[in-house]
Amino acid sequence: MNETGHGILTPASARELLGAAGAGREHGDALVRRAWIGPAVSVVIGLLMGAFLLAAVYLFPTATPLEAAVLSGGYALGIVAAVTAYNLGRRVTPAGWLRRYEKGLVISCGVFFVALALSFLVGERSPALWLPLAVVTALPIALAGTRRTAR
Amino acid sequence: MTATDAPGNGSTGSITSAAAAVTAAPGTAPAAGPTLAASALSAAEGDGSRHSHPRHRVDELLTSPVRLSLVAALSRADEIEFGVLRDRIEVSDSVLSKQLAQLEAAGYVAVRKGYVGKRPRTWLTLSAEGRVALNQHLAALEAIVAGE
Repeated sequence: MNETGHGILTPASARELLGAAGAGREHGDALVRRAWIGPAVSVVIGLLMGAFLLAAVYLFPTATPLEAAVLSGGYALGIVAAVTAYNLGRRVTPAGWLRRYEKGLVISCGVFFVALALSFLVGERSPALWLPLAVVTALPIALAGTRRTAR
Repeated sequence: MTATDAPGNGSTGSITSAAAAVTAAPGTAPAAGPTLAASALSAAEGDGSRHSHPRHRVDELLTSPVRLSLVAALSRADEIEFGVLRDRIEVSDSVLSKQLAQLEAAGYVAVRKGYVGKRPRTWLTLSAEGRVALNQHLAALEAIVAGE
């Protein structure tokens, strides 16, 4: 017996335990691979942000108060729906996903507000400028949320 | 869009609360886990050179294949829900609960209970101490196999 009281750990039993650890890691990896809700919500929120930027540029300037309220409400409802879906559906949070998501969110928010400020400063409304800006707004959170890295 | 629009500001099981659980887990670990107990035992027994064999670095708690498998699975995620892990590892509720209770008592796993709607859910996180213990345990096992 060793000090642990579980008997001497032989190389064979150590190998068995390493096998159990390997199997456990594979189980964890398999669960992480199936964790789709977080990445999906990241993409949806990215798309909503990009779409809201385009709405702010193209629709808000000429929108009636009611139309503006509908647009803003639709955006807010979309965010709430995405958050609710995440909270109801999430079973596994991949390692490091939260940090990546938060970084992506901060960057997307930064781009969004810079682009929004730009929309007030310049009269340019060409899709050649605003579509790429909407994509750049959506990309950080979408990419950060869908990236998979193992620990 | 503001930071408050982000997922995680929901009332239950949110991204923010997940972060809190992850960051809080190490701090909630009891101080007297098996690794620390083993260290204390080694120190009490005197010269460390008497315990140079890798078997002395084996973590008693992780000599159970089921517990080791659980900890290894948890090491691949920030958080896993109880039922998902139970189904994946293919153990019963009672077996998983019993093993988790030991891991939680050692500070290796943080258990967080919450609700999704009206459904109770339990979330499991490997603590920083648990991660260190797992890595040391695996290193010891590999050394034992290598010294065969």
